[in-house]
Amino acid sequence: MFSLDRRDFLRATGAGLATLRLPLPAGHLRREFAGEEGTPALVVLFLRGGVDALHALVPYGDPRYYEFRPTLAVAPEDAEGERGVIPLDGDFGLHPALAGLLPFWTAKRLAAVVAVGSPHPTRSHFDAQDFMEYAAPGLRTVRDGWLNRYLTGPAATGASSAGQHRRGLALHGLLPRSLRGRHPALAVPEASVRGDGTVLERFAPLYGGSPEEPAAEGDVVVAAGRTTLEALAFFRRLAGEADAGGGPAYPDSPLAQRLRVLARILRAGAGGRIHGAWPGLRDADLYEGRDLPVTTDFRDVLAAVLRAHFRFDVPRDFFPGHRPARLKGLFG
Amino acid sequence: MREVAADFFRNHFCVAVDKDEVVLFAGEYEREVIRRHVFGSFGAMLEASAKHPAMLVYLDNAVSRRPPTKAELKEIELPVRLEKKSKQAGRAASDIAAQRGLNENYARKLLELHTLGVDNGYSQRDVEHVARALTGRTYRDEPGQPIEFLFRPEMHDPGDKRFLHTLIKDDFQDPQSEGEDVLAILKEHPGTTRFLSHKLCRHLVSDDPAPELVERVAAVFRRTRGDIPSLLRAIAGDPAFFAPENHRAKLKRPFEFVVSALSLTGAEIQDARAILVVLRELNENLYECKDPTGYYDQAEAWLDPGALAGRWKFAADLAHGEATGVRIPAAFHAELPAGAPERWVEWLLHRLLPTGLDPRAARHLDALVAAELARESSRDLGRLARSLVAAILGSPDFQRQ
Repeated sequence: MFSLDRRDFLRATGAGLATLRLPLPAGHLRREFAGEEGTPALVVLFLRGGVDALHALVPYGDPRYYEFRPTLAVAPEDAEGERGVIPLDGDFGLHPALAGLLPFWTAKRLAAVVAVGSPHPTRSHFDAQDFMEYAAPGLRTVRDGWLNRYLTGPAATGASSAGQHRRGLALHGLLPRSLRGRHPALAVPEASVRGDGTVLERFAPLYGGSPEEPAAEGDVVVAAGRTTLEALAFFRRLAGEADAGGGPAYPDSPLAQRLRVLARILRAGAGGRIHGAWPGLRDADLYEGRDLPVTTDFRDVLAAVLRAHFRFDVPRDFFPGHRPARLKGLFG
Repeated sequence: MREVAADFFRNHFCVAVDKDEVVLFAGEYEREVIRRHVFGSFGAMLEASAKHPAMLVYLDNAVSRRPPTKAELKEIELPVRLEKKSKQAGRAASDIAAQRGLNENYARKLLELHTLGVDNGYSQRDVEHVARALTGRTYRDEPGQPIEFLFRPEMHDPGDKRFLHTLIKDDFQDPQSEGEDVLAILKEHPGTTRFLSHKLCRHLVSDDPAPELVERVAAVFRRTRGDIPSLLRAIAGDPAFFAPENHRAKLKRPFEFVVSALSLTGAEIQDARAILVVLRELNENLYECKDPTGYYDQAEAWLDPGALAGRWKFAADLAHGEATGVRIPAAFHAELPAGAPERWVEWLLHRLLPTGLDPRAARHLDALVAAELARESSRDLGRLARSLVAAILGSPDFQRQ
């Protein structure tokens, strides 16, 4: 059950709350959670153990796939009690365990990009993971996550610059690296998700917390205590709104309960299509003779999401040393 | 000191019980690998970890074996080629078979995490050759036999290996010695010396230890050939250890926070599993680290905005007797100066936080005492004592080492 705690999520809003210290009108929050116009949100799930993409989205139209995976492959159709792939477009299909995603595909609310990856050749899982979250492969000096860089970035085009604020929130006791950096982002610990927050506010006087009593320079513990108090107060308000809203029943798992609050803000995107160039699995095309080669730099996908979803004009130096290519067709 | 060192090396040579059978071996691993060698040499601990079933399973060396021989590959290629009438299909099948067998996971982590440190002068080719030299090192798992290290020559990959510019000759007579040669090179390699010295200083002194300190410790590492007590003494006796900028510079990890709260309050542990649950909520599940890196020991990894909530909850639960499985005994409170609650803060700080509180927190504690004493009716000194303990355990200063 605790494998779920590796899955953090982000939600960033394009407009709205000036700072978390302001008293928040309840109606405003309800609008955000009901997903009304004007507040794009992004949920990022990072599967830290690594996801076997060829197992999740099976290239069952490529005969080499069955040669490479004589025992592991998912069959093209149901046979002998074994469930086969769920075909999507003749070349790719979902693993049968992912059947729950099919309605979203049919409604054109789900899309996939194949053969996306990092150009850096490291085989260290941890470095690769960090490079992804910083979106700066090979550059160890970059210490702001890509989502945090978006949060600090210039205003989205077409939006009024006044009152333009973005907010990052991880429903997890610790922030993912992608969200760490100069822009304040909140981690909301599980204890407060379960709604036993008031006892914790007795610790407030130990950490000051009033703006006129600033933390000593560099006192990271006191600073963390104050943001913890903010997070607790903030999340209790949100949770109250979500509970009042009703809605479908969610399974009683920690991740599901976290996602419950978010489900209403999901929108239709560029769904119902497989994006990206499938390189095929011919010997000559394999990376170092053994891996699926990368045909799309992951930073190009991140840039496409930021551009289309947040109308964010990705600055030249946003991805250090990399100018993202435009991906045709992704998000229209 | 033993516990501090054991905690460090448990994370350094991390294994996680959620992988396959590791759960069966982890207790013995802690006893026979970590604790047995914690006052011995780093090299001995390295060699013990490399042989222990927990590590062999955790990082897959137990299943790493030589790739098939040419003759074996022919046997795979031929039927495919004939059946598909395609030379390419046959070659593809044999290519796939050729890649099966060697598992580089342990070799990579051995260099990256246990000895040299990432990007410290080794190449992918070195990883591969180390993995080959280590093939055959697996464990016996047969009914009626003890589960223990076993070298299986038939899994070993023969041939010369080249590692960090050293030739490791194919040893037909004693192939197990090739892995031992690799470990012998690594355990006192200058890269290992630097990496370990830096990591120890980072753990014990400051998140960003001064290079001069690291170099002094590295010199001790070289002179004593990695004698762990000498390294700990060198750090604890170094002027940098007492320097003002390093005073309380380290944040307690959740494990250190929980253990210090329990031991300083003399808490009775009725159900040790309850402590594991608390550590889980604080994101430091014992023996369940998601990554073989072990848990990070820098403040940055633990001090996210919002992250203190779990610590406060534990502090409040423990102090007020609401924690599951652990309880502060009545004897702890019985020692409070009876009839003199105005001296309780001083007494509790002496017990729990001898280095003292910052002025803001100290004012808050005094205010708690004053408020309770000012009550006309329903004064509850027991509640006051519990609130003071909670406040101290949840204070900024208690989060620091």
